[in-house]
Amino acid sequence: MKKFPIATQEIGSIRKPKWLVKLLQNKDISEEIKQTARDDMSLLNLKMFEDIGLDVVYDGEAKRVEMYEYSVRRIEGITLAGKIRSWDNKYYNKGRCTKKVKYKGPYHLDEFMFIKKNARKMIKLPITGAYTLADWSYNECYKSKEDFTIDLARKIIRPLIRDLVKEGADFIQIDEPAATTHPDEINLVVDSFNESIKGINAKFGVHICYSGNYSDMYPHVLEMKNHQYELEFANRDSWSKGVQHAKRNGYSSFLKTFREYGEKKEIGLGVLDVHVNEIEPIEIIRDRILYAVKIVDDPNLIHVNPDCGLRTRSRETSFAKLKNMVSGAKLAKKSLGLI
Amino acid sequence: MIQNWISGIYSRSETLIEATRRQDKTLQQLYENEKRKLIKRQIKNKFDYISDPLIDWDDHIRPFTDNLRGVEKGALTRYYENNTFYRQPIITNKITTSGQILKNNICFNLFPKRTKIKIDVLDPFTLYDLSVNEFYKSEEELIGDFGNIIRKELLRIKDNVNLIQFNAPSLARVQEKEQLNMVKEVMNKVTKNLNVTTCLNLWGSDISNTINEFVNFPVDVIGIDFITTKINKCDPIPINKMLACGLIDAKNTKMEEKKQIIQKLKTIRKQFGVKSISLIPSWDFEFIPETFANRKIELMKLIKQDMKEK
Repeated sequence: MKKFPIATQEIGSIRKPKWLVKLLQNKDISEEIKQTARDDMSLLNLKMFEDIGLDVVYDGEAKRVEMYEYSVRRIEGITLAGKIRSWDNKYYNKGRCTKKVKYKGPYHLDEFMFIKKNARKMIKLPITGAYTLADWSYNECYKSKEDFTIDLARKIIRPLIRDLVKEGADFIQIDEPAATTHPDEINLVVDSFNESIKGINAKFGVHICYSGNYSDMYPHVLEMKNHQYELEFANRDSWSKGVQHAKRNGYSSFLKTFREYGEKKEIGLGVLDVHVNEIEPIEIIRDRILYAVKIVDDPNLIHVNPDCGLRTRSRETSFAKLKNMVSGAKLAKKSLGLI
Repeated sequence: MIQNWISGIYSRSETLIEATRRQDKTLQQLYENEKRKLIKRQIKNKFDYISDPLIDWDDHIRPFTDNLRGVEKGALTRYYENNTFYRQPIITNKITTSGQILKNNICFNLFPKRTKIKIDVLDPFTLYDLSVNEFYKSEEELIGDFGNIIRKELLRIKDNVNLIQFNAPSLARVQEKEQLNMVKEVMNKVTKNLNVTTCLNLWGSDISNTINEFVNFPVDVIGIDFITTKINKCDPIPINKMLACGLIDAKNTKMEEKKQIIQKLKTIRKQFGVKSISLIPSWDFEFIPETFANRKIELMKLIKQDMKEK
C-alpha cells in the first residue's frame, strides 16, 4: 500500500446550510429539484475540501440525513422509533429492529458515483458499521446483541461494501463511534468488522471516537483487519503548545499503547475538537502531529483529521478549522523535512 | 406492599425536541407546560412518589457543573455505556455551594399540593467519578466535599421532599469493600437526621457480588437495576429495607410482559425476604422516545394494580 505521510482528510459530516435544510423539508418542491440541490451541495463541499488542500476527500455527507438514520432507513427490518438525546439539545433518531435484517441495495452507491466523477483527490468513503448500527438500535427481534450485530455485518454491510468496491471504492472508512462504549464487547466489534470486509480487497479504516480509553481495545483490536484507525483525541488534549507528554495529554496514553504493541497500521489523528467553536492555532496542530510522529516513530503512520464529523459546528467554523489543519500539517511536514 | 415511581430524566416530547432545536423563545414556558403534563401523568398512573421529570437538565451533573464554585466546564464525555454525553466538571479549586442548586433546578412550584415529591440527585461518589480532579490530593477528600455539598443542598429542600433518590451508577461499579466502606461513611454524614425517606439507586451495573455491602448503606430503600443484575446470580440474603426493583427496561422499546414482571417481583420478594418493594425503571426513561416511556409507565401501573389485587 502506498505511503502517504501526514495526509490530511475529513472524517464525515459537514453541516448543511439552512437554505438547503428548508428546501429539503419543503413538500411543495419536487424531488428532482431536491436532488439537484443535494448534488450541488455535494459538489460544493467536495470543491471546498479540495481547495482547502485536504489530501483525501468526500462530500461532507451532503446527501445523508445523519450517519445512523440514513443507513437504518434503508435496511429492511429496522423502523424508526423516535428521537433520543445525544447531548444537550442534540438528538438522533433511533431505530427498532423488529424483524431479521435484509439488504435492500447499495445505499451509498449513487453518492459515491457522483463523487467519483467529480473528485480530483483521493476518495475515502465513510459508512456506518454493523456494531454501531446494532448498539444504537433497540433490539426487539434477535436473541442477543451478538446475533443482531453479526447479521448486520454479513447481510447488510458486507454486500454494501462489495457493491461499492465493485464500482471503484478503494478506501472505505467504517464508522464505529460505539466501538468502545462497552469495553467488554470489543471482540464483537472486531468480529463484526472482519465479517463486514471478509473477502473484499480495499483499504479499510475504522473511525472510533469519545472512548474512555482507547488502550482498553488492546490486545483484541490487533485482530481487526483494518489498515487505519481514525480516532478522536483533540477533545481531551490541552491547548498549550509543545511536544512534551504533559502538553499532549490527550494523545499520550493511546500512542504509547500503540507503540508498545508494535502496531503498523496508520492512525488518522484527531487534531480538531469538533465540539468547540475556537479555531485551533496551527502551531498546536503542528505539535499534536509532531508528538504523534515522535511516539510512533514513523510519519508514514500518521494521517490527520478532525476528531469526528464537523456537523455540530457552523460551516464557517468548520472550514476555518480545516484550513488550519492543513496549514498545521504543512508546518509539521516541514519540521520533519518531508517538504 | 408495592409502590412505583420513575427515576432520573424523562424523555422529551417531539414538540419539546423541536423547540429546543430551534432555541424557541417560548422554551421556558414549554418546559413548564411539559413538566406539568408529565407530573399529571405520574399522578394519573397512581405513582406513589412524583418526580420532577428533569427534562430541562442537560445532564445529571450539569446543574452542579454550572453552579459549584471551584469547578470549570470540561470536555463532552460519554455517559457510561450510552450514546449520550455529559459535560465533564473539572475541579480546579476547593468546591463549595451556595446551597441553592437543587432548590433552583427542581420545579417545586409545579407540583400540586399534598403531592409526595421525589427528587433525584447523584451520590457523592458518582459526582466524584464523573469529574476530573485537578485540585484535591485524595479521592476521600473530594468525595467528602461532594458529600458536604449534597448535604447542604438537601438541608435546604428537605422539608418539601418525601423521597430523596441518590442515583449511583458509578458506585454500583465499585467492587472493593474498602472503597465502599469509605463511601458509606460519607453517605452517613449526608443522610444523618434528614428525616426524609432515602433511596440508593444502583443503576447500570451488575451488583450481584456486592449486594451484601450495599444493604448496609444508611438509606431506607435500595434500588437495583435488575436488567443488568441477574436475580439468580444474587445470594438470597435478607434485606430489611424496601427494594426498588428496576425491572422495566428503560433502554429498550420492547414492552415487558406483565406476567413475567409479576413473576420476577414475586421471586425477588421471596429471595430477599423483603416486605415492601417498588417497581421502577432500570435507568432514566430518556433513553427511549416519549411514546414508549409513556406506555411503560402505564404498564407499571397495571402491574401494581394486579399485584395489589392478588
